[in-house]
Amino acid sequence: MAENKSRTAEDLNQENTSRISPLPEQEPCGNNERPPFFNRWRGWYQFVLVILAVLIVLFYLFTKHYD
Amino acid sequence: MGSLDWWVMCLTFLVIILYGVYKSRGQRDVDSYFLDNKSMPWYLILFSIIGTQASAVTFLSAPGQAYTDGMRFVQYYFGLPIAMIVICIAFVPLFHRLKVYTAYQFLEDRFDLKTRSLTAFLFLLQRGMSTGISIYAPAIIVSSILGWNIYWTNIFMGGFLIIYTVLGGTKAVAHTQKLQLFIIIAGMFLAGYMVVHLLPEGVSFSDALHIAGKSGKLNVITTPTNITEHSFWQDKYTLWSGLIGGFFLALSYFGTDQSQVGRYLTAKSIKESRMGLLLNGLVKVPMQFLILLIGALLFAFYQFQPAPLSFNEMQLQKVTDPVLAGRLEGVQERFNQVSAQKQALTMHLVDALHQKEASKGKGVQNIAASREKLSQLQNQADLLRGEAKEIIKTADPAADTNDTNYIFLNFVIHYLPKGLIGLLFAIIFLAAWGSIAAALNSLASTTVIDIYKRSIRPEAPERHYLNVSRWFTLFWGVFCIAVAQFAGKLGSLIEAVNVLGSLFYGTILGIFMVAFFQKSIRGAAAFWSAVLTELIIILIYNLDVVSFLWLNAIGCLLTMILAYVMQWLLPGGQKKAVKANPD
Repeated sequence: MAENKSRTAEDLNQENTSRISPLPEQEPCGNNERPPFFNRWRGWYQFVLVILAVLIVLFYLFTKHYD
Repeated sequence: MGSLDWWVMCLTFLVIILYGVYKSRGQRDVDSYFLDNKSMPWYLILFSIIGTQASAVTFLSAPGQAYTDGMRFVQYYFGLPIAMIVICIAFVPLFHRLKVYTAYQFLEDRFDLKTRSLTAFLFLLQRGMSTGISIYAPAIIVSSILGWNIYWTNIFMGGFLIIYTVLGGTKAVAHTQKLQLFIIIAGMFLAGYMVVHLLPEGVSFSDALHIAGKSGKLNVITTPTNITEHSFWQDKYTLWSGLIGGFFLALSYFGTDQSQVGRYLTAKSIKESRMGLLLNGLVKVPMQFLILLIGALLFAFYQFQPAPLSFNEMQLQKVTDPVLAGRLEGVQERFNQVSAQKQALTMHLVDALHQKEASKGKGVQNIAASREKLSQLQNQADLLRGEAKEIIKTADPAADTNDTNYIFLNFVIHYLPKGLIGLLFAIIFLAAWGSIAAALNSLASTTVIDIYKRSIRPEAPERHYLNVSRWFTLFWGVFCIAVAQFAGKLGSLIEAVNVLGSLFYGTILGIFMVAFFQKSIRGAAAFWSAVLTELIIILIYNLDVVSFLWLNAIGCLLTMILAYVMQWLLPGGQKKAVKANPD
């Protein structure tokens, strides 16, 4: 899903860039730079989601424990 | 405050201002003034994003919010990490590729000038107003403690940060935010430690959590399930409103609010922007949880100590009429009696929790009975506080009796040691300066780039735009101070800021969503759908049908749906839509 989203955003970027900006196509913008610790940005996105889910579960247990 | 506190506070201010002025050097054009020549690393982006969002309101109101309503406010931030991901995927690469100064520049290329101008105007209106509240929030501290006139305090408060913001632009803002955040985090940890440290002997951190929990203050997760009930939509902070409403609010705030977009546009690459945003998604929820936890611990603390009848003690002192003062004294006496009973019962509850059989039959019954009695006493105390508020209102009908924002600072004044009081006060100021400075910078950039340079004076030397940018920063500083003079009537400040944001953010986000994902929609349809949506949102808010967090989602979705409808209704729309979508 994240992969699809990413691709859709990429498409949009390409289209909008060609419509809007006079920038040369080869200009480096760093979009393909490798993220730290993970091979792909998708790894970071999943990591953030997992941490959020873990936090919600921990908060739920915290609420139940002290109620 | 003692002389040591004044020294600590003044020294902290001086360091920040001098550091900000020092970092102001080298501003030669609008590029360096608003974007710092796109040179910032991810950690500066992260500090800047956090420093911009976490204003003094966060540190003043959040503990008070937890004290009165419990910790469920943290759910409001659950949508934020998801929004960070969407922004990293869709917004960041586009803004970087287009090399824009503001988020609204993109809308003219995608739609037309009027859509860009409308969105910029909505942003200026909303951000200008909410920044006024951010000035008022720390100003009430000074006015309350020193007995200064609030109007002069607002002016005094806004003045310092304007110095380095006008001079140094984005660079000065980001570097001072970094320093401010270090001091703020250290100070808040110290404050939290002191709350636990000042608990009576034999009462541990865990006991304090149990006391707060038994009084319903550790309600971090609340999950209403019946969507047919009115309360489901009215309840401000639930898991669902936090995840869905919070997501839309965070998406609008970080994706379309120039005060945040302006932070990550300064990154030297897409990677640095993304890292700053994603790490913000990781740290924001735990950070907010810890700030709220201070409020819950404060509640436990005040079960052992006599809490004031009103945390805004100045209001109590203002009741000078002999008859009303006599009534207030009677209320105070009864309140003291209830407080004494609460203290005794809380100690009894702690003893019950310490017993080995606490988790067994009789122990559980004992704890439940104490909890029930404690709840009754708390209700009595709340009623007496309500009575005191009525007396204050009778004495001065214009008085603001909401003391939520005073809870944390009241504790700071009365219980923290000398030196630390000064540091905590400095922290409130620094937090305010961080977010206000970023807001002024973004207000100026939007005014100059989206309005002045685009529609008023398109051809001028770079030096002229730099000077104009500085003048507009100053103008917005003065405007926000003016708004601050009226902010006292808005109740809980943190909520007021969010309500204000929710009125406009949905529509602004909707315009961007249409721009990104509805390729067939043209400018006129986007513009009129936004205008119509904004009117409907204001109507819904006035009718009080749903909690304000839902307005973000409604505004966004309504703009997207109405854009389709408008595209078909407006002359030539169907033709264009078909042409744009040959499939």
